Amino acid sequence: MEVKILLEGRTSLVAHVSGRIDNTTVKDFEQEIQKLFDHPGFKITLEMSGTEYINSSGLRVLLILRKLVAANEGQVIVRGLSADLRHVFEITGFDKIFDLR
Amino acid sequence: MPKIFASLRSRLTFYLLFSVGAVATIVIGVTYRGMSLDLEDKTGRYATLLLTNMRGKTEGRLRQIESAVYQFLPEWQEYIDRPDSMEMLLERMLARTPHVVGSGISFRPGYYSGDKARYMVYVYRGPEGLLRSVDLSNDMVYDYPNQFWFRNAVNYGRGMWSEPFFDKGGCNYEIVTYSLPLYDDQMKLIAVCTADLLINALQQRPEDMRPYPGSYSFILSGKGNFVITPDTATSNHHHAKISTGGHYRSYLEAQGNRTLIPICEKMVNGMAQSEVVNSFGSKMIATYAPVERMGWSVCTLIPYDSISEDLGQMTFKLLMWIVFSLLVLGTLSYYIVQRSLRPLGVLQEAALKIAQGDFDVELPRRKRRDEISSLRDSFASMQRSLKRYTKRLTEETRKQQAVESELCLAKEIQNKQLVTKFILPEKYSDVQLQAKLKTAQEVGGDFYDYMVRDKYLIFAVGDVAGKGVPAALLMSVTLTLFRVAAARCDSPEEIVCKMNSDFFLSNETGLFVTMLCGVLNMDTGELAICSAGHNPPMRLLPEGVCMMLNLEPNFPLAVFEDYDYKCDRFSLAPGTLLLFYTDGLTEAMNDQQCQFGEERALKILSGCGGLSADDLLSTLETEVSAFTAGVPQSDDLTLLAIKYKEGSAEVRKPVARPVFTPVPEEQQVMTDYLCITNDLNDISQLHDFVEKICVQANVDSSRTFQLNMALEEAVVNVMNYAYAEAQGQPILLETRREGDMLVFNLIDQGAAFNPLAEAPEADTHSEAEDRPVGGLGVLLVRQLMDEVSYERREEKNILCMKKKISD
Repeated sequence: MEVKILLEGRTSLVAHVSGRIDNTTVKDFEQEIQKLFDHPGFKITLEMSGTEYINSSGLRVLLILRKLVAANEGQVIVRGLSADLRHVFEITGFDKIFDLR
Repeated sequence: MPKIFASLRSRLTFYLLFSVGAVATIVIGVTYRGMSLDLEDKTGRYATLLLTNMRGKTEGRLRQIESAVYQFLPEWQEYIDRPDSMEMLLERMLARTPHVVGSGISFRPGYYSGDKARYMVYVYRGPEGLLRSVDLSNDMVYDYPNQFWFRNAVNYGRGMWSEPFFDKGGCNYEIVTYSLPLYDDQMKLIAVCTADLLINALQQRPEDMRPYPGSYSFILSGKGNFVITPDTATSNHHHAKISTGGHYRSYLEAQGNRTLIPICEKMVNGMAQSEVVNSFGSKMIATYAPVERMGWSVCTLIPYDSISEDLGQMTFKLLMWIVFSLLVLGTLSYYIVQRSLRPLGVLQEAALKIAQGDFDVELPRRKRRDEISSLRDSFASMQRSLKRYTKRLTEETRKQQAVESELCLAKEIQNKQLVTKFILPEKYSDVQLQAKLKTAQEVGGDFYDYMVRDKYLIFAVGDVAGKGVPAALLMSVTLTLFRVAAARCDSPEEIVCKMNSDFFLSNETGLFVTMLCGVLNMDTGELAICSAGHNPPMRLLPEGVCMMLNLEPNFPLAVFEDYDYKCDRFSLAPGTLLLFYTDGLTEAMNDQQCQFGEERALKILSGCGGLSADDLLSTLETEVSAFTAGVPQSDDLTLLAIKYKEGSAEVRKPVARPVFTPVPEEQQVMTDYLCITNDLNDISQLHDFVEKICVQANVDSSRTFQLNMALEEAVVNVMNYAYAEAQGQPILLETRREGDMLVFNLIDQGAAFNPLAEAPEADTHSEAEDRPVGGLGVLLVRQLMDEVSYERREEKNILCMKKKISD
């Protein structure tokens, strides 16, 4: 699992998430995502085309992220989800709390 | 057999002597006969010679007398007119002729006139040798003109000899007389002149018979009277007093010697020949011939013995010499043979020594090149060969023994590989497991093994093709592969597949293995079996119903690398006993070449209803031993019995049909297991497992993804919550197919925990802020699976999740 955070524009951060997010990698994932909180007010995009898999603990991390961002009136865009993951987001209702592109 | 034939030495000598003796005897016999005949012949001729001699002599003597008389005639004629001078004349003649013993002249009565009308003068030699004269002119008793010598001559008209007679009144000797009648010119008789011959003078002197003592002869007159009788010659007297024999017939008959009679007859008939006759008990050769002059016949008899005596003596001497020679020859040849055969004795001693193990015996050298030396050379060559072969054999035997002791060791090692204690976890003490393996040779190819993982009893029974060391080695490999596979794989067909592919990594022998692998869920009684070309097992119910289980007939291991093994599933009723075996049971042979067979085994088993696994195996073993009855075991015999939940079974009434029948193809249940521990690192095993299941069931990738996710969530949940702090606790994920659904049972033995209840349903509709953090996993499970249910059963948490996998 790898997260690469890149600055896109002046106020946009893109986190490229690749690999699997499961119980073994969720801690690292969480640490990486934490870095996004250092920049309040920025637009956050999660580029997840390289993400093979995310489990509930990973989703939890995303939820926390969303909550924190929402507190700062930010936005989390999730793009590049595979069909399977998209379906997962749908059945868990995450499609409503994330801007899926 | 006489001892003489026992030894080669004496046998050879005996044969030699016998042959020489036989030849010599034949030669002697033939020679003797030949010589004997020859001698007869010679003797005959000699006799004839003698006879001729004698005849000649006799004839000569007679002729002498005749000529004396004829010589007298001229003188007489001179003195014819002077009758008184007659005496003087006669005296003169007698003096002249010594052989004449008497002589006389007798005138015809009336020739002279006067007192000399009857006139005869006779002069003879007296015993003293003096001449005497007798005047019988006027003796009327004598009556000279009627005497036979006068009358016969007158009648005959010529000179003639008389028969032998005794001249009584005359000379008183035994004589023969020659009478010569004298005639005048007118052929008128004047007188008869006589001359007498002593018969004695004709007798053969013994000197004449010198070469053959015991010979004698006789003379017969023309009328058959003996002039000389046969027996007179037996005495040695020169001038024995003899008497005329008279006619031969009366004489010989009086003697009792009739054998000469035929000869005398022939002699009288004037025959001349030589023949063998028996006179007075002696064998004689008689030779006879006539003396024509006077009609007499002379016969000479020579004793056969005297002629053959020489021959006999000579032959006897020859025989003696031959016997002596044979003795010498015998002794000589005995020693020669003995000496020649001595090398054989030496060879015999050497052979004895070699037989006792001494191969270095020195055979005697032999300078002469003959049969014995060839024998000796062959013998020496044989000795060398023997030595060589024995050495080689000793070496081979030593190697063989080394190999055998290694094989013994191998057997020990192999024996230790097999499990001998069948101990199941305490909670499964109602499940019995027992196995026996009896190998046929030192090391065998059959094997069995078992492993308990959780509630699962994983067992295997197998048979490596072939016997002996190769089968044994492959058996070890197979056993190890089984243990490796059984530790990691959860289903029998998986285990078998893994073993099969592992075989191909290392096995190039071409040998294959038949095997039966089973996984029994000791809680539920569900049994999965995969048979790789192995004998179908037998199932026995406590009521005694016993039958074969028909299993999917897969190929044996190590035949096809990617063979797709299929397994069969059953549920065991409590009290069921399963018997697994190898063909060492069904193909056990008795001394009539009959096999034990499946029917017999089923029959025996059906009588063992209710027995424990141990007892059943013992019973079966006893039955097999009784059947084979001492015939050596030809194949390994393996028996493995599993009795499920003995004692908890109610004895059921016999059912009309078997408790379980093979499941039809469409409804074939696939049960796979995954057993992991509550360690998050085992999650990857879960994913592998799910992948495999989905591939097998042809699940599309989305559903696979979903299953992965759902199951992971469920499993992680259990890992997190079921066992609290305990480590290494088992978590089992069972799966089977139900129609178009995959059913997963997540089972753990932890604290009672229903994830569906404890974790609140996640609210998927509220805003992020409102969303609770936990419960997402369960939500996912619920959403991704079609049916989810929980059950707490027998201290276990069972989360059942079903998903439809086809549209």
